[in-house]
Amino acid sequence: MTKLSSLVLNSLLLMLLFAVLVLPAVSMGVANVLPSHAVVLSEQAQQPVEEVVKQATQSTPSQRAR
Amino acid sequence: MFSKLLLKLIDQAIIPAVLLVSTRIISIILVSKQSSINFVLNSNGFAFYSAADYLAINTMSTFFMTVALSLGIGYVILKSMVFHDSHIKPHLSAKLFSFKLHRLIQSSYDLYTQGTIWLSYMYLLTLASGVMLLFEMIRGWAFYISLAMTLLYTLLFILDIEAEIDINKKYLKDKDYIEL
Repeated sequence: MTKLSSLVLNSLLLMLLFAVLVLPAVSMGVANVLPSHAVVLSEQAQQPVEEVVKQATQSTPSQRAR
Repeated sequence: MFSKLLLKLIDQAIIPAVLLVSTRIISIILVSKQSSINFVLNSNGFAFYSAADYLAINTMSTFFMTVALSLGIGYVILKSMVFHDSHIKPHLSAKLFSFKLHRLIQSSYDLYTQGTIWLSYMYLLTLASGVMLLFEMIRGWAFYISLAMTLLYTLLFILDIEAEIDINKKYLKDKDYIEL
């Protein structure tokens, strides 16, 4: 019983350690783009490749991202 | 009942976690203000009006997280290479005691648990920024700086562990010689 409870407690501690370690990586997801813009991006992804390449070669990186 | 090592690791993990999360949030706000980029704070966090703004802020924020983490690991590596109780120079030790800075002198157990935790954060940050780079959510340079810092600090940490192993070997040899 003592060994089992010790095993359970240490497993919980290990999970807590993992949670604390992963927290900063999760916090990297606090920044995102507004969903309305995400829809625009997904529409752009459906464009033919030639059109996307044409746009990419005719504009600056910041314009392309917009 | 509790593993002392696990408790120590959790204890050491809290400060860098708080540092990283606060660096992330503060850097997003400050860089946005500095670059006059507008954002909305909603249930998902900071939402930007354009992908270009998001890319710029995300890159800078990741860079600042790498800098904060590098400073933290740098401090731990400095302590383990210069102020390690196993090989600190006597005159330096005397100076630290005279300036009441003897807290800087730490044992291998303290230093290596700290080093392991900080390096784990560095690896996780590099991994997260690598995934973000794959999806073009950050610029390449932020990931490569993070990767370079990870490799550099891993190398320095390994060098210190090797030096520590040599010291222990020498100590055991001397001890055997005295006992014989």
